[in-house]
Amino acid sequence: MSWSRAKTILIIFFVALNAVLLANILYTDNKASVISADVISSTVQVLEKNNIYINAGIIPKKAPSVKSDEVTNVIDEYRAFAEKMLGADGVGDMGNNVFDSTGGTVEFSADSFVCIPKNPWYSELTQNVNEKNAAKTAVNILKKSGFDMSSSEAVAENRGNGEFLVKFTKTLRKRPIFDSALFVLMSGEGVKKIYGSWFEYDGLVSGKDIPTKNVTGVLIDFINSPLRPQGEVRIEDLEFGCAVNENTQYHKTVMPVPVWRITLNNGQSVYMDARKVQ
Amino acid sequence: MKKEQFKSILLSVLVVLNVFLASQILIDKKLWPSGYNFFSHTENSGIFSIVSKLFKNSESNMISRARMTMPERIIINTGDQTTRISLNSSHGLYNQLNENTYSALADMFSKVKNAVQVEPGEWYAALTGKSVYLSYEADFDAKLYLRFMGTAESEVLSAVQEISDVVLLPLSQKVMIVYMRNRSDDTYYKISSSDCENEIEAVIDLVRQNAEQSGGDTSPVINYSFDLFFDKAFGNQRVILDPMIPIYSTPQSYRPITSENPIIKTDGTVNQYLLDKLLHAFGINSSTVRRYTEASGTLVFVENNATLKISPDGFLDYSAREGTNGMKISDSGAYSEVCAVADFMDGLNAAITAQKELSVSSVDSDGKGTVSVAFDYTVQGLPVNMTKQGQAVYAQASGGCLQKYTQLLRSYSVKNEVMQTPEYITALDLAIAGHMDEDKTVVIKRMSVGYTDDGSIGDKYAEWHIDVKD
Repeated sequence: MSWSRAKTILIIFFVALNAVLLANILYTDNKASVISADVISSTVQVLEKNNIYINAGIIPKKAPSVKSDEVTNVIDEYRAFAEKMLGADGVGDMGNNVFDSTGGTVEFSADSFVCIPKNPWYSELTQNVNEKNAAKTAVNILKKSGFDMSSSEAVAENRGNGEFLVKFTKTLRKRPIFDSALFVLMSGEGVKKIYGSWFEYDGLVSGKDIPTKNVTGVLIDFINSPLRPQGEVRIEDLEFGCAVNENTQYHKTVMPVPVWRITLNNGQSVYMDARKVQ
Repeated sequence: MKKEQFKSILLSVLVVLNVFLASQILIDKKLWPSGYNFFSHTENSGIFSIVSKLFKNSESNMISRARMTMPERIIINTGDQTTRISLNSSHGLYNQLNENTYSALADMFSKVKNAVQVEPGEWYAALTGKSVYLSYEADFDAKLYLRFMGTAESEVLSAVQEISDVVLLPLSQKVMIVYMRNRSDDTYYKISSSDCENEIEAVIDLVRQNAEQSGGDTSPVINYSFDLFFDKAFGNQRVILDPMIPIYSTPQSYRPITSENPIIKTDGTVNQYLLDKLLHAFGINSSTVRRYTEASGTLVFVENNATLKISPDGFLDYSAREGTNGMKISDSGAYSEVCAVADFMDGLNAAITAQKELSVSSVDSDGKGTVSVAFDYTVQGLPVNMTKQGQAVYAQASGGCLQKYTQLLRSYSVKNEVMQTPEYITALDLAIAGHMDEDKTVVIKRMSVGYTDDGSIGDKYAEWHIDVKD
């Protein structure tokens, strides 16, 4: 047999073998991230034995993969941010993280701020505000104030008396940061208040994924969680997202922690850490 | 021909791709049935750990433990008062001398069980004879010092509480007297043996010959402070020196050094690879730890039992959370804990390419089971004095757990130039002049050459450092 013919046979053999190996990798990888029906059924049974009821249909069947994303606080430094909101001239430090100028006041607490104009701002943008365009109007206002509003979800609420409150939630890879939101309160007269916290995407901390527990594991953890209300409860919804722990202290940058939000029938939301501690 | 070449290249590519795909299946944990990974399993097996130990230079991770009883300075008293020779760890004969004194002391402590308190005059007399003076930077708890000398129990302990200086006075190859000084209360003790094999006299002669021939890298000492009565107050002079401060006859030569922060560069760039290794050393999983940056740029890592912070200037602070024990590093007991801290520090410095040579500067035990140990970086045999942080490394352990660990993360490179410190007498005069106006008598505890590091990145120079007694 000639060497040329042998090469042809070997090429065919390796193409076939590589195809089998690749298919095996893709199949096993996909299988590893899928939660089997048996596991879901067993989890529901364990939960029921502990007076927690859930419709098996709302339990996601695929384990989420989480990148080690980092976000940067829009508040780089309290005074600099106050000057950004109020204008650089005449901003006075009133103590206790309060800054004041003729344009308004900004008060800080950890990652959050409350900015109250002394006279409503951006009246030229809000004069025709209504329930339909409130979110879009708020986006334009925030963009003008220097906020990056990409990857965010907005919900507008009619507060009556011509006032609209728009809530923005930042999303990372289409998953919400549960404990950080930005609010804009406005009417036809202009913006009356901007408050909350806001983070912008900064990049990956490392190429490694954050190992996470399956939702079934999180539900089992919920049984003995101190956050669980006493007595019988029903889980109405499960949503995967992340948290920055914005209330505790100021973060210049932060790697959000993956969490599952468990919404209960009493309206309460419980946030469960989804990190797999190894 | 072209077709054959193409087939050869294609075949090579397919073979490489095949090896890559096969390795993915073998190594990736989730591709094994039920998450079982042969390689992961073998890594944790006893056989694998034994094999890995064979290839791993374990001694490199025990540098500081071995250096624990290495004196900051060894002074050879030749018996001739005008010929005393001072050596630090950068000297070629230092290791040999240290090994000889170590084995002689270990032998002595294992055999002799009674220490006798002596008058200072006897100590001073030993220093005028043919002897070796060992000056430690730390004041050791005597019990701990003897443990490091390989002795578990000894009656020497009952008399001596602390050991800060030692003099070995060989009378022959078998007869030797060892004097110990407790610097804190200025008491002196003696042990002697007529059955202590030693080569101290021979080493003294060797160092003397070497100094006479080379005349170069040793530092001649004219006298100790007590020789010149600098340890006594005269007239209006209110500054006195510790009796054991050596008086040098010539300025000290040294090479300047350059400091670097291995983790965070001056432009704020974080070396993620080394940071992951650092976190791993503290048992922190870099993928799951909660991490954020403070307003000052300090990186913060929060885990269940501890918080670890690294400031932009390279100051690392690991603190166990209140109510938790911290990181388990050893069995309970001061000796085990100090050794474990030293080993941990070596492992950390090796992992992040920080300065590997450190010398213990203080060891304290509160008597309630908490031990504190501090280290200074050492470069070219000279300590690096941290003017801002106080010490390079500080650790606190209790119950075998590391509760507090701070370190100014630094690596030092030696510059290719030689400089000289100011004249010793000039530095001494300046020190005395600086305290002349004080109402109370000022005691200078220590006067030695060392590098000064103010925490900034860049060139560092050596100068005289003067410690005044509180």
